[in-house]
Amino acid sequence: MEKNKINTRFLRFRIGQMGKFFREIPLPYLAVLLMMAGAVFYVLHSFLESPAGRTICGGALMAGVCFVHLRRKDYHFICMADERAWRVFFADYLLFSTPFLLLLLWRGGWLVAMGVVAGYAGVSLIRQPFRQVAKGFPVPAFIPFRAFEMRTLFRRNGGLLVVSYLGAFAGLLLPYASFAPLWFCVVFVTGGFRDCESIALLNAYEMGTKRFLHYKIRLNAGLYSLAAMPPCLIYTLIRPGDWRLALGFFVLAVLNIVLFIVSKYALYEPGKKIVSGQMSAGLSLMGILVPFLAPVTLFLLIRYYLMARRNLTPYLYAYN
Amino acid sequence: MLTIENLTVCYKKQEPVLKGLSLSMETGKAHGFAGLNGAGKTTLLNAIYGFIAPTAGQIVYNNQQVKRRDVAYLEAENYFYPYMTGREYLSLFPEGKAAFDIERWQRLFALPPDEITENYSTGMRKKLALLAVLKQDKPILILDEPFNGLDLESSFLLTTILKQLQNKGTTLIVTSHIYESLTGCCNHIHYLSDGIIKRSYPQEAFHTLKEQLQSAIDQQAGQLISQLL
Repeated sequence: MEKNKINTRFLRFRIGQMGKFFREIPLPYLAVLLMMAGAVFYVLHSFLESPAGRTICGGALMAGVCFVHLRRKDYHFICMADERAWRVFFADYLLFSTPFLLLLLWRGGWLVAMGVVAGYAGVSLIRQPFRQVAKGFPVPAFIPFRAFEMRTLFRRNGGLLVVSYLGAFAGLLLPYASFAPLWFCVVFVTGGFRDCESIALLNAYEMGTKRFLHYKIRLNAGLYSLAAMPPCLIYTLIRPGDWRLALGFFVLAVLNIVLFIVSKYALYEPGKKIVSGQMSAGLSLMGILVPFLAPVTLFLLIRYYLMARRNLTPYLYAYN
Repeated sequence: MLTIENLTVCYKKQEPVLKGLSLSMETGKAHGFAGLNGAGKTTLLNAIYGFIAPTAGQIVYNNQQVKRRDVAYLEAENYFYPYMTGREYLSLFPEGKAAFDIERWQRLFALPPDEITENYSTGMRKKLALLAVLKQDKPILILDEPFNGLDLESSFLLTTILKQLQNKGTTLIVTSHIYESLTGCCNHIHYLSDGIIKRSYPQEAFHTLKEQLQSAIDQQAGQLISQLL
């Protein structure tokens, strides 16, 4: 294959992927997504008015791109496929930030835009080393082996979880401030239910579908409840008037953990990573903060629970 | 005694993969299954384990329908949950009647127990999956390509373990594409073709299997290979 054509093919492939992504979003979700994009556009539009805002946004974008570049999983594949891999990375970053760059140019930030583009070229040249997976964050002994999603999640994102959790306690000094870090904890925890275990591991529990699902829910939701209860209780004690808010947050957070557990088994495929249902899951997580989205969580919970019962039956039928 | 009676398995509405296969396997013996790719070996193992419900026929163990609680299964492809250590993986499996000393077993197989499985080599992963199967201490062990990816020492170690398991009365069902591995640990080898057992070879006739296969290859493909090379 001619090397100079590979770059264009990657670009076409990316555009194709983007088109597929938008085509597969159901209409109601697309409408919500467009509304959210509109809100972001409005905020950015006002923020980019001042030179300071433009510089901050440009810097944040560069930091984000740098982070993505150092962690992207197709880095070594692209390096093998194309001698000038940096051009593929550069095109990727340029393509995905085009709306932001256009907005930046519209708001007169051409200097920052040029800096960002030059920065992309620099970032694209940074080499990602081959590395073995590190040992990870130490896992607390009180998390049982059977809650392996929680254990592996802690090993992966333990630092972020601990910082967020401590942030929730620090936030007790201000009204509502504890809920943002606790919400991040929920987002991290739910992220632990994206990978599917092997059939061997699924069968290691020696339980039928219903018993298995209920056991997983009890175990993981129980662990999260134990962790989230102290900050919520202390918040209620400090601000008794806000007890409904603390209770509502707690219940929605636990429901979201349950939703992610059942959605994992509703979409379970042995050894695969769950990629579908991200949009609805994201909306459900937003439902903790935006009360009018809360019914989405309940609706999805029932839907995925029934789906999980159906989907797991062939794998566990010998125990049913 | 594990008996397979007239077993037929179809995937959806396709041609049956197994076509009325019948076989009796004595308790405490190792039965090897060989055959071309796609001959139905893995389908047979999946049916014995209960991953696939048979379209017709039945599998009976000690005069009862075989239960999953009687069987442990080592799959050909082993997948491990991301960021899970070897010790965590093993601790998730139920222990059989005999106490399973994780430390000693991992030392025997030279596996670092607290290392994340992503850092394990292919052979180490196979050994870890094998330990999970051994831990369950079931009367029937199904091993799909257990020798794949193992180093020389571990292959010999596995052969010794399988022989001792037979002495304990465990029934072994093994598939392998490596002739020496299969003959080294099995009492019988069954050759699968077109969804049925074409021939069964007892231990004393293993050399016949090799000779038959070699002469068939020489006759059918010898000339073509010489042209291609």
